[in-house]
Amino acid sequence: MAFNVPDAKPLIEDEFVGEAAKRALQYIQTKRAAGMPVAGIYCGYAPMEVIRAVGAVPAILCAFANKTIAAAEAVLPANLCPLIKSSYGFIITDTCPFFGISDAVVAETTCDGKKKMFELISEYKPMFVMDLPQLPDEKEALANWAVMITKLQGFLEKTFEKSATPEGIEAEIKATNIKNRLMNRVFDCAARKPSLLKWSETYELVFLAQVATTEDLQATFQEVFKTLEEREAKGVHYGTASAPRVLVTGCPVGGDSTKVYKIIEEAGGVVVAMDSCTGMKPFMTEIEENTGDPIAAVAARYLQLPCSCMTPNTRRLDELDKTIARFQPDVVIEVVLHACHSYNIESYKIMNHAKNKHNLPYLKIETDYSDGDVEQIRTRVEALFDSL
Amino acid sequence: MTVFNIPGPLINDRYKSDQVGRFLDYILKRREEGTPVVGLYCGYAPVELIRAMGAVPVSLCASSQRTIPAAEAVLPANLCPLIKSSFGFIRTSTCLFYELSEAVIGETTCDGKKKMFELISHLKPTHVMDLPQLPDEEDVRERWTEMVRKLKIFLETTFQAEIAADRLESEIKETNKKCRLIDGFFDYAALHPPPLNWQELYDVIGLDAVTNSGELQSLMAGITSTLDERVAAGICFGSPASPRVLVSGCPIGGDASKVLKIIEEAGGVIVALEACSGMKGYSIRIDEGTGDPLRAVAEATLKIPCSCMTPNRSRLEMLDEMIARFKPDVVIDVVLHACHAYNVESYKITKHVQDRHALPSLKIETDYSDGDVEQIRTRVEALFDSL
Repeated sequence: MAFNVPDAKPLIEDEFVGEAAKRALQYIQTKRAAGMPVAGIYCGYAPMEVIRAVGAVPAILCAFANKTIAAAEAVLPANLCPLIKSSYGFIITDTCPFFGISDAVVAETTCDGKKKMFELISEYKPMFVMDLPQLPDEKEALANWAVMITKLQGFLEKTFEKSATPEGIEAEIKATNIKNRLMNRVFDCAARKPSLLKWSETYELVFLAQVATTEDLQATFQEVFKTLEEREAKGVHYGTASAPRVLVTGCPVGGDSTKVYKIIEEAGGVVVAMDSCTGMKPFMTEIEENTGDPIAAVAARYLQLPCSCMTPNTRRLDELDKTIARFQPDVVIEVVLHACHSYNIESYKIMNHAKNKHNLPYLKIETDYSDGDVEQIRTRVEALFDSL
Repeated sequence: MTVFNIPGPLINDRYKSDQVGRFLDYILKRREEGTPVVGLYCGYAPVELIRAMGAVPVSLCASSQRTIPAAEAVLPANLCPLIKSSFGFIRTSTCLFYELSEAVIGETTCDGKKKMFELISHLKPTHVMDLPQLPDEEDVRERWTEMVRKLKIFLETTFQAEIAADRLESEIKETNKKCRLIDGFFDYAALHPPPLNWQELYDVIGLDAVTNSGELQSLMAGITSTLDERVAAGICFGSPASPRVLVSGCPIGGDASKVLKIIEEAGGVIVALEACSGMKGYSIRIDEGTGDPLRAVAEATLKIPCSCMTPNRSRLEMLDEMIARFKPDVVIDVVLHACHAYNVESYKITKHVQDRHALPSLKIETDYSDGDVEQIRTRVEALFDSL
């Protein structure tokens, strides 16, 4: 799969093309050199607006490489999610530059594996674990989560010897909303038939946009939209009009697990929607502005994230409906990382929903970061596309 | 002398060692009297609330390999056998206790259960409690009390009944009396060598669910007198030289009790069972006469040192107490396949018993099948050989 012209200009044209992590690292290093503390995060539930309002820069910690898993398995069980094993392996082998420059780590009780893994790294850096309510529709869930966010604010303020004001958080809310709207304009281009972007371009932009401020992203956005307008004007698009459009949902996909995206492309599909925390999910909801209680507004927004750690996670089905309507996929492929129980069990509901409500073919791929199953996945994806 | 056949039943009623039969008859009898049945899966479910409403709590089926293939048609194979078994029982309508239940209580203790409950919640009124996971946070007791309060509302609404504070207070006292009786009974397991085996421990551990404190007291009088006779006659299980084993970790029942059998067959005596299916719950007391019995119940359940808590320091403290009391020679940590929380925590447990107590430890990861029996046997025998 390729662009219909041989020389399509990359969406973000700099020295880091194809190296999203290095681009993010350079950004964070620049901020750190300017005196900003760094808050390492692992998850979309980390409230970015509060981290930024405290004057810190968020860093998404390494979690996507097979190479650190062997080291992790000296302590952690082999039968555990590769993301958790990889994260832990990076820390004990001291090979995650983002962790190295983090002054504190923000963690959440999203799943059994992470929750217990965090205990084993709590000695390395100041760490704050947030007790995430798991029943988002209960009326006290919001209040409990707001309390947790306030506690996180206190932790960050104390650790960084800085402080955040309600006005500062409100300003960050507005900045997030602006960023999310811009990101959604980009996603709209991915939704075009045929798509104007390659999955890796969206992936790279998402990687940067999660850590960079809206202000710092302005130049990038300008360039991105200029490129997309040019593509549109020149009729440049990615893949063919007849290529199967794929919505990929499920666990975060990054680093070594992007093999799944690559296989989908190699099999002739176009990934048009990436419904995961490393994809479009973090940008899908807006935060209510001018409520007078910015912490509560932030809490409400994060509690809306349709992660499988929530029960019941009916929002995921609602969001899936919207995503399907918007991106018009021909097929839904769910990626479940090995031993991620919550996405794995929830996939049964997602499958029924995709098939019954949307009449879409559905394929579940359970995988890890190794390359041992590449050909097996390829066979299944190809068979799926053949059946369309 | 090593004795592995202890004379006479420990519980001298018509059920003897038939725990399920005793339990089933009890539930059926209560149901005939018009008592509603509430099913539960976990020690975090506050049974005092259910009893105070005039209902009877029942632990639902979760420990058989037989129902797992049916479950795997929907659930992933790589999941804890307890969860798969539970779901399989429901799917195949083979758990009589579930069939008899008019409502089910679940908790967000682990990823697998939490998501499995979603798949059964349409079958019966099912109430899932959002369990806080950070026991050291100062507002955790408030949060959990609120959840217990919501359970009370669920029960009262579902059964159109009322849970009065004074009834709850008397159920607290009941639970405490029963826990004291059973916890006191564990002193016999601490004897060296013990006058009873793990099966007998298990038989007694189930009794609080089917008795009131008065009935338990009279049963216990018979049990202790039998044990005293054994002690006086020098009858014991194993020999003074048998390795004393503390078994910790995941709940062990039904098909998973293969591990306990293997330990015995390898010449060990099980003197302490740490899990929720063992002694864990009986060391916890509920505060009496606080004026707020609902909060007292909530605070007591929150003391359960389950690996779903982070950090779960009280488990190490409970282990310290159990090691001091039961004087094991070795700790065997049993982790059910794909139970991430106990599996990851196992690293801390084995390190703790090795570093702090200088005890050898062995982690056994297993499921309900019998495919690994000989492998486990080899490892347990090797462990005992090394003592």
